[in-house]
Amino acid sequence: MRMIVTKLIQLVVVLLVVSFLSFMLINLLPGDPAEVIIPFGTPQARAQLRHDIGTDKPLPQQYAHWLNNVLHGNLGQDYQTHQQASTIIKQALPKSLQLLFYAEVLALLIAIPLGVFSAYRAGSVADRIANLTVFGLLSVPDFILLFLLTYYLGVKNRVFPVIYPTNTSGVSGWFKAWFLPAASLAAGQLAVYMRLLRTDMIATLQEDYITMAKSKGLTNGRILWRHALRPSSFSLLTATGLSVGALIGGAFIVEVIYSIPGMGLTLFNAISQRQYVLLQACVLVIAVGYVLINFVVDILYSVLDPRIRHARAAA
Amino acid sequence: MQHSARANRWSVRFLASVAALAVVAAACGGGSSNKSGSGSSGSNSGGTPVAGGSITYGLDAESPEGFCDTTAQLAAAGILENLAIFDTLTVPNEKGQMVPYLAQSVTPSPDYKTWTIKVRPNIKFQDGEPLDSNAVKANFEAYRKGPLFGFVFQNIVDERIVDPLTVAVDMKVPWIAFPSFLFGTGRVGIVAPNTLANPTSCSNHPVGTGPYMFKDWVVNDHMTVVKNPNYWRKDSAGRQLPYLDQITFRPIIDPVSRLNALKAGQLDLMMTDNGDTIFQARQAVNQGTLADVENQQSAEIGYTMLRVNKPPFDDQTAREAAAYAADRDELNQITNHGLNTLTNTPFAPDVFGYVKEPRQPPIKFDLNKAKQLVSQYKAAHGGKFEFTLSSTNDPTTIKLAQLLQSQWQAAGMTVHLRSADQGTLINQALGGDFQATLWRNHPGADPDTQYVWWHSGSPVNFGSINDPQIDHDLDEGRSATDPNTRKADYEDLQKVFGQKLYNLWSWYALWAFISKPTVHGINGPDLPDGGGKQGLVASVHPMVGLWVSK
Repeated sequence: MRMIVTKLIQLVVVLLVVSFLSFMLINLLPGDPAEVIIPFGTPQARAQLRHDIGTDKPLPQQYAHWLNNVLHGNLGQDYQTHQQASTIIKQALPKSLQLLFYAEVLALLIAIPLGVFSAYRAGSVADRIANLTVFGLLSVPDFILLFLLTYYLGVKNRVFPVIYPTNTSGVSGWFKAWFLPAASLAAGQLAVYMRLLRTDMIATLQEDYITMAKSKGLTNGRILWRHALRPSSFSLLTATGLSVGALIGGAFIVEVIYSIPGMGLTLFNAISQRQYVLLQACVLVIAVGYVLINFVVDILYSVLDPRIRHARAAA
Repeated sequence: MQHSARANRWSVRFLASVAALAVVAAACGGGSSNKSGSGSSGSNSGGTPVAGGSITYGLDAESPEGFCDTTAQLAAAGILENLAIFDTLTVPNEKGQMVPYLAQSVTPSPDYKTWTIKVRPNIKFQDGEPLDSNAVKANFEAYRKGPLFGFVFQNIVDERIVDPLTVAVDMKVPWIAFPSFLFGTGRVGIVAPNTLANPTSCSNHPVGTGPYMFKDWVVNDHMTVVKNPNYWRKDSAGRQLPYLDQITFRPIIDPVSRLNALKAGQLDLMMTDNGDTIFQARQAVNQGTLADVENQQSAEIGYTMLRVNKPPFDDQTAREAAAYAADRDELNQITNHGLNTLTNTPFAPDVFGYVKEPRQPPIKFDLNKAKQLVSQYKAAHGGKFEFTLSSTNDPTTIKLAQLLQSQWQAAGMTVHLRSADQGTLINQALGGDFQATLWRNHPGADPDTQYVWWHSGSPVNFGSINDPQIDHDLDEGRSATDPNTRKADYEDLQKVFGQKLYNLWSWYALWAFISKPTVHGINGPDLPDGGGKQGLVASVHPMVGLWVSK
């Protein structure tokens, strides 16, 4: 419990830093932010904007004003669409989360059995083929893979949609709709996950308790999945948390190519169309999300490994 | 019209944004050997239109500012969306002449200082408001007071209600081409007066008299319009327009994804000005799997805009050197598969007063001549011929800029590149912060619509052209009632550009509307008063005539 409280305090500090840096995005714009944000706006619109974002106040006061709004769910108004940034993000975020979730699950679903098998058969031909394949996938940028998958599975054979469909029907429709972008993103991740798990698993399989399990006549499957996998998965867990950043980066490009109206496409348009308030809100949400995911991963360590939990409790 | 100096600045900035829509650069567009002009192919020859059905239309951009015609900056995609919702008072016919559309008549006084606009009776906006003289006046006021069109309509002194359907518009000076400005490349739609008072509502829930009614808009995802059951038009066979029940617009930024989606059947129709995409689409058209309509009528011009009051391009020798050193055929081949039609004038062939070769002999790529001119310039300017070429930061335009840089450097010039997003590039142009920049602009059938870009008194004369002959041609061309005088003015204007090389013209932009073979009606139905179909203007085609065959 004490450990969680300490972690929470650290989390709050990190979130404050993240929020301040996001806030500074607009303040770092050269000249009058109102001129930059709405270059073709009327003086009335610019005056309203200065009032809304409080640029006529001292910096600490501006930050406090902005943070207060953020904490109340007000991320500011986008002055091009005349919509609240939070409204736009509420529409975009679930789509990105679905994509990231699908990609992570897909990557883990393939990487875990492949990593276990590869470790169990370390050095065999099958292990080498598996390694070669995942390294091949790792070396192909996700957007190139998306173009290839789109062409062969979408345009040529029409198995999957080639752009994000506005309407999907049923669970199978959902899986089909998201498959190509999720698979493109998952391809690079599964190589990392599989390799990490394989390495840790090989080390685990050398442990005395594994030898003991074998001598007791436990089946290979039981040894691998019940006794070896859990202690071998810490690096995998760390990588899964950290890779959210890489996935978000890849998702930006994939969302643009696949026309998914998620955070990546929103961010891309916000940058290219100079929607600074929306850009600031997107950066804040993504950064906070990244921090929170890694906080959860940190907590999960102690759930997975009783040694960490007990050590922290003892400390 | 009472505008403060500050108000004028927004107008200037906003007008500049119109150019922004075109800035994308000289890289895009083009012409074809077999489909120049307002050509049509399979997609428009589908027999008898049938009512019903829906289509998904892939666009090249989102319109983040929404759809309020009087205030929103709209790129080509947004204009198409708005043409589903709004009608304009006039439209061009296939000959490029403006004819009444929402208006029943648009009549000048003998001296062209007053235009009388009478709208058709019994037309209602989609919210039930009547289209009458009050609505037209309210729209004029909104356009004139707004930052986007205030500068364009600065020649208007006042608009007066004559009767319930008629408005008279008084001008400062005679304005021959006023009906062209009422179309405004499809941008001057008549907006429901109730929505004009609320910018947010006007942007996010547009209401017009057009063939389709706004249904919903999810930013970056889609915008849907549904059939307006009370639309005022029927086709020449008496069938109610529009034919389709619904159009869903999808912004798909990447042109490859857009074409793939069309090929995979997720889209029914798409727009593009990307040379690679048009090239690929033509292969599918030849195989019969897709159809397309390509347009370069009243086309925009891709060109290098020069700042002619700053070194080095304040010196004609430098401008000539740059012109002779640019191998436009090579640029065209590499950036657009050679699809573009090169031009030596700022006007498309259908534009009033067009002259094919305003300079005799025309300038052609000549590296030796360019090198001589560079040496000549360097000798007179301390041994330096150095400048920066600005461009937008999309890959196609950057490629074009790099190619131009290599060609100019081969002639002995030192060329630096600078790229920026479109908004920044426009701000740089407004502030005079450039020496040469890749640009695209000047669509429209009447040359008077280009007045503000080149007249010495205009704040959006980005290149700072200050030529009394051009001013004279533009002023007289705007007001001369004798068509021959106007024609001579605009011919002369092109000759002055040809001689002085204030801008280095490259090619006409080519827009393609690519579709499944079952989609028809891109050129629209016959005009309401007969006389053929509506003419296409650059990236603009009517939405009212779209239909799908079974």
